[in-house]
Amino acid sequence: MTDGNQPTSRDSRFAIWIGATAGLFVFALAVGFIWLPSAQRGADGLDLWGAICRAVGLPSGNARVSAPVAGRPASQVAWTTETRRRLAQGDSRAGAAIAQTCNNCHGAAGISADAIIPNLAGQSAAAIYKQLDDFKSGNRNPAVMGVYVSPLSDQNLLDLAAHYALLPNPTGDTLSTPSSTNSVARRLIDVGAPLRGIAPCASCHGPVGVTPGAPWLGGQQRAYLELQMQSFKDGTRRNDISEQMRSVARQLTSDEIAVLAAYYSNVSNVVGR
Amino acid sequence: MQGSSRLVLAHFWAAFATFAVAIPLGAWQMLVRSPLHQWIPPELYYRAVTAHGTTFAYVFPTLVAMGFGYAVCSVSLGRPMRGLPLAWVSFLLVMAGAAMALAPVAAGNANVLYTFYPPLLGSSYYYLGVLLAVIGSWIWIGLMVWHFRRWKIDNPGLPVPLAMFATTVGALLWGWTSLGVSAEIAFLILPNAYGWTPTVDPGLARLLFSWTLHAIVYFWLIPTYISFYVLLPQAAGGRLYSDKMGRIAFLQLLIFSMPIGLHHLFVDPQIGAGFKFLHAVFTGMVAVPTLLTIFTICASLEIAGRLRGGRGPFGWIAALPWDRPFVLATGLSLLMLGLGGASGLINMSYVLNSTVHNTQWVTGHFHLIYGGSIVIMYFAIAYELWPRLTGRPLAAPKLVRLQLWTWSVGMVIVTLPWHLVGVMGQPRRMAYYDFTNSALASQGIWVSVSAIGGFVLVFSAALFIGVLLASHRGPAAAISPLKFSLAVNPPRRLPKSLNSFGIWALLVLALTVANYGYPLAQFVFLNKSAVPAFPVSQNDRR
Repeated sequence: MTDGNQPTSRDSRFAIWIGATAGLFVFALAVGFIWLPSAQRGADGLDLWGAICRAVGLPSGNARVSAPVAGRPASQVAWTTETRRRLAQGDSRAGAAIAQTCNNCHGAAGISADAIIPNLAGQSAAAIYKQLDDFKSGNRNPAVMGVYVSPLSDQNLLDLAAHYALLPNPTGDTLSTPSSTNSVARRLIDVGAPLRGIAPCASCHGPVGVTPGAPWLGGQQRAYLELQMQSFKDGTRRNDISEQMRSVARQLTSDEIAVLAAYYSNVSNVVGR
Repeated sequence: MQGSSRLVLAHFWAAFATFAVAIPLGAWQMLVRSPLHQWIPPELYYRAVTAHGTTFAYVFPTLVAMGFGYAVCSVSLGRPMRGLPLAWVSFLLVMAGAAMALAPVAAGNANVLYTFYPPLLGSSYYYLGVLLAVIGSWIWIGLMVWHFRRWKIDNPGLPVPLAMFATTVGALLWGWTSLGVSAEIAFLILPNAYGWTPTVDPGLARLLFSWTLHAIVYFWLIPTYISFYVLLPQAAGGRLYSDKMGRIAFLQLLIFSMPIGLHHLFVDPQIGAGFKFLHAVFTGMVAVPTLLTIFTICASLEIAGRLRGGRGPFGWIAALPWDRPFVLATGLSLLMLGLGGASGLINMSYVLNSTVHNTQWVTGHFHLIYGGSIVIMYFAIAYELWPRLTGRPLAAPKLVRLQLWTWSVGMVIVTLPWHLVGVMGQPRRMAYYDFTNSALASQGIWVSVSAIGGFVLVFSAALFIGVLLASHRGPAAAISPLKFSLAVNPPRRLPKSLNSFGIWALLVLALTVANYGYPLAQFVFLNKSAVPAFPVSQNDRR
C-alpha cells in the first residue's frame, strides 16, 4: 500500500495516462481501419481502398452493386418529402366539385351503398391519393376506375383526397380496446402470426402505428375488404409497395380473410359505439 | 446532515415513489407475455413498457444520484450546502419533467419505449418532459461542481474527500453524456414533431442517443461505487484499502464510459465497421475500473474480516458481519455484478454481439447489472441514510435482510431465464410470443419462471417501502452522525492528477471528438438516411 504523502511537485500521471490512451487509440485505428480491412480484401469484390472506405463508413465506388430490379414498380407514388408536401396542398372545395361524378357510386357522404364499392369518408388523404394515382398509372387494375381518373390532373387527385379525408367517418376515429381478445380476427390484428411472418394489422393500419398510405380499415365495406385481400393473396392486385400486403395476404387462409373483413366492417358494433 | 436532510429526504422519497409504481408494471409485463396469461392488446403492453423504462432511465436513478450527491456534499465537506433554493428548483424541474413525460404515456399517446428511437414519433409532451427532467438535473451538476471548487479554494493543497471527488465525477459524466439525448430531442425530434422539418434521420438520432445510452449506466452506477468505497468499509468494521485506487477508478470511469456508445449500434448499417471496432476496444477499457473496484472492495472487506478474527485464505469471509444490511447488500451486489459483468463482456465483443443482439439476453444483462447490483446498493444507501435523515432508527432489521435477499434472488430468477431464452433466439421488445407453436414451446417454461421472479421483486419492493415508512414513523432516538470510511493510509496531500479534473476533462473531450466526430459529421454532411416520422400515438391516423 503506497497511499501516501509524497511531494506533489512532479505529477507524471497525466503524461502516462494520456500517452497510454493515445497509444490505445492508435492501436485500435491501425487494427480497425487497416489490418481488418486488408484481411477482408477480396470479399464482396472490394479492393483494399474499398475495404478501408467501408471501415470508415464512406460509400465505396468499387463495391459490388446489386443488379437493378427488372419490371415495373408497384406504384409511381413514393412517400418522399415532396409527396407529403404536395398532399398538404389538396383543396377540399375543389375536390368536392370533382367528386360529383364519384358520388354516384361512393355515396354523397362518402359511404357507398354497394358492399363491393369502398367507403371513402374520413379515409386518410395519403391512402386515397395513392390509390387514385395507381389507377391512373395502371398499377392498380384500371378496368372500372381508369375511365374516371385518366382525365384528372395530379392536382385534381390531391383535391379529391383532401375532400374525402374531411368527410366525417361514421365509425369514429379509433378502435377501442375490446373486452374479448379471443377472436381469430383480434389476434391477427393485434399480434399477427409471427411464425408465419404476418405482422399485426394494427401496426400499419392503426391504431398502434400508421404507415404512410395505409388506409384506415374500420367500418369499410365487408365484400370490398375480402375481395382486396383475396386479390393480394392471388397476386391479381400488385400495387403495394415492397409487396407489403401481398406477403401478408399470401399467408392468410381464406377463413382468416373472411373473419378479418367481417371484423373491420363491423368495428363500430364490436366496440359498442 | 448540515441542514440538507429535508432536501435529501425529498429526493429519496420521490425516487422510491416512482419506483413503487414502476416495479409492478414490470412484473405485469412479464406476466402478460408469458404462457401464464392470455395475451393482451400490444398497445397496452407498450404503454406499460414505456412507463417502466422512462421511470427507471430518467427519473428514479437521477433522483437517487442527486439526493445522494447532496448528502455526500454536506457530510464529506463538513459544512452546510449553499444554494439550497436552487437545489429545490432542480428537484421540482425533474419532478415536473417526469409528470409531463409520463402523462402522455399513460394516455397512450407516446408508446415509443424509453429509447424513443425515431422514426417512431409520439406526443411532443413526452420528449419535452424528458428534456425538462434532464435540464433540471443540470442544476444539480452545477451545484456539485461549484461546491467541489469552492472547497478546494478554501482548503488549498488538501485532498478533496474521496466521496465528493467521486460525486463530482458523476456530475461531470452526466453533464457531458446527457448532451447526446438532449441534442437528439431538441434538434431532431421536436422540430419534426412540430412539423418544422419534414423528415428525421434515425441513424443520426440513434448515434446521438448512443452518446447518452452507455454512460448513463455509469451515472447510475457511480452512487453504488461511491457507497462501496466510503460506506462499506466502515459498515463492515474495517478501513478502505486504498483511497488513491478509488480516485483512479472513478477517473477511468469518467474517461472511458463516454466515447464507447457505438457498441449499442453494432448492427446499424450506416456506421463504418472501423468505428465500431474502435468503440469496442474502448468499451473493453471500462472493465478496468470495475476490476480495480472489486479488488479494492474485496481487500477492504478482508481487512475488516481479519480485524474481526478471521484466519486463513478464506476465513475472513466468514468472519464478516453479514447480518449488517450494507455488508449483505454488497455481497449480493458483487455476485450479481460478476454475472452481469460476464454477460457484458460478451455484449461488447463485436462478433459475439451479433448473436445476442436484440434478444432477451440484452434485457437480462441490463436488468441484472442495473436492477440487481446497482439498485440493491440504492436500498443499502437508503437504509444507511434513513436514521440520519429522519432521526429514527431503522425498523425491523430482519425484514431488511429479507428484503435484500428477496430482491437479489428475485432478480436472478428474472434475469437468468432471460439470458437463456435470448440465446435460444427470443427477440426482446415483443408484446406477444406464440408458445403454442412447437418452435417456441421450449422457451415457455423459462419465461414462466422468469415471470414468477417478477412477483418476488414486487414483494421485495413492497417490503422496502414498508420498512422505510415504518422507520420514518417510528420513535425518535439519538442517532450517530453519518461518517465516511477512513482509508488505511488517509492521503494528506495528493498529486494534482488525483485531486482535480481540468486536464482529464480535456482528455474526455478529445476522446469524444476522436471517437464520435467522424460518425457524427458523416450523418450531418452525407444526409442520406432521413425519413418521414412514423406516428405511434393512439389517435394519429394520417
